[in-house]
Amino acid sequence: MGYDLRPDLTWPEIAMLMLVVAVMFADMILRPERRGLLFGLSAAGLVAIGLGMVLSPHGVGTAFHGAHMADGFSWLVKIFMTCVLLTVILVTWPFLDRLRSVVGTHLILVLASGLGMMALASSNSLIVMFIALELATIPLMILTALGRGDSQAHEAGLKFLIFGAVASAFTIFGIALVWGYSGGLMNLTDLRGVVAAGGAGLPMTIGVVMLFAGLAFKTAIAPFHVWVPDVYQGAPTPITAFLAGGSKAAGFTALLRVAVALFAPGEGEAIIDWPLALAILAGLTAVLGNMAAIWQTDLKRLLAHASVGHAGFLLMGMAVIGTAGGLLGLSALAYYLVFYAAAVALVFFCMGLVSRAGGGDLLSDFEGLGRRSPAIAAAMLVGVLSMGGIPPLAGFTGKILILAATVKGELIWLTFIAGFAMVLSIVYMLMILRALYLLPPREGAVTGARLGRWEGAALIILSLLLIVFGAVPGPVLDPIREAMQAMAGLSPTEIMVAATGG
Amino acid sequence: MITEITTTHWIVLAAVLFGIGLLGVLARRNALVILLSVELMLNAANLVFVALGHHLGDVQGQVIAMVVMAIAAAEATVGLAVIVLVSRTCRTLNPDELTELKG
Repeated sequence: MGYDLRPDLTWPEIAMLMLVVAVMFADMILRPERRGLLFGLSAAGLVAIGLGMVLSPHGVGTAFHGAHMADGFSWLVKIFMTCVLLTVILVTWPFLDRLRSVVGTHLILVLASGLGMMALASSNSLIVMFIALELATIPLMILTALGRGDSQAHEAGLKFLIFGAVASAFTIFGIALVWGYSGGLMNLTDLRGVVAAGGAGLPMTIGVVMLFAGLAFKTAIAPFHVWVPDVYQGAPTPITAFLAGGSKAAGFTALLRVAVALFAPGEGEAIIDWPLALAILAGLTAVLGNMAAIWQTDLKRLLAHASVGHAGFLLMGMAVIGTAGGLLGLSALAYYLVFYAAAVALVFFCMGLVSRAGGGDLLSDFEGLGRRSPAIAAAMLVGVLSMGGIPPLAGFTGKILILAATVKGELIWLTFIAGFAMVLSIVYMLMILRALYLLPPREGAVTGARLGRWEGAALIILSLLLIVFGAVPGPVLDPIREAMQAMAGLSPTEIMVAATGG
Repeated sequence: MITEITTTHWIVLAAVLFGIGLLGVLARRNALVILLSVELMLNAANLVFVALGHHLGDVQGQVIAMVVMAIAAAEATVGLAVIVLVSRTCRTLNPDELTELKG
């Protein structure tokens, strides 16, 4: 029996692994004062992988005997992940001086975590999903504790570690039950057939619930979100951006694959009404997150609570699976995720620039930024407006698409809850705007944070992304919809046919 | 009177181990003991894999148990490193006393 490696499908992960190793060696060879080159190497590698994926036609099929699934969806997610990794490296740039000797370690861990997230997008086997999840999470724990070297970061690292370890214990126990009680099936495409035939008994359902709990931790869905504010606040700013953008997106792609395979209503009587459970959790998460954000004084903590709220909106897109709004919901989810990550990158990059100039992370540290550093404040304004859902920015378009999906899926009560959460999110957005533009600068506040040429270009590109694709969502939404249709619509036999090339 | 140990007994044992681990995480006030409790939870999952693998006559169960052990070791390594850091800077390992981050 061969290894079924299929390099035409798995090359993005293989290339990513080689990039990690290359950076590792370069870190050993380069002299300490030339470690800035590592940024160039990582960025060039990521650009090459990203461009390669954009330009080459994506293959459809499975590798490693069904454990690795390449389809349009996973291809899009991986392109998105390379963009996220690039922005994380970009956001790390202002901290170059502060990181000093650990620059190499930092980049290796970021890239390794990214590799885990890419593998997660393609995982069709539950055990591969678990390994990819751990590969994505464990480096993040180190990065959280390592970056700033103060007691806050260490405390955040410990909390992340404890919650993360418990979540992975839940995940693997759930996987064990699903595997055992389905008669030894590990691949989601096979399990989907078992569930659709009504073969999910009580032990298997318990397994699915535990698996869901583990993934809900990763994606910060209430009530598994309690770790988020502490970890986001304590982690260094670039890593907070990575957690909020990349890690959450990776968790949602895994959740999406699990949802399509295991949450769909089968022929028999299901023990749990998954769509309803997801809808309730989504509403709860959106309201709790946005409500808590209003009371914060630390900007990072505020954004952490806001990101919980965003997770609620994303989960709403998933709750309409299996209804008339299913396809729209999944497409809206992906669209929302992409531009949420862009807005997060923009805001955290601005925070990083202010922090480099000596500013803090408290909301009061940003008072009067519009007068002190107009360019940075303007970029931050775009990011915050998008998060708050103001037209024509992409954040607004995403929220409207989610609302439309809940209406189409006939979950009108959820639409109202989403509307309420949107109002709450406008409140915290106004709080940030008030600090940026209406309040005078405090005594001794940092003025004129430096802005390099490349940094300015990055701010403009990210802002334009949010504005242009918010007003004209078509070019992004259409490929997403196609990929989603292919992923959610294919039955196991159709995937087998696609895999054998018939 | 139990005359034979069946697969169900193993699963119940695993569930009890998992419960003990979870209780330890929730109730104990030392980061090291919490980490130990998590290991107990992971090994409960291993027990399910091995027991059900034996029941199904599928060697995959034992292979996965090995994989999970490797991952648990990786997690424990990082965990111990972070605990060393915390004990140096914060002078405590009691999560209740780590309250710098709140809002």
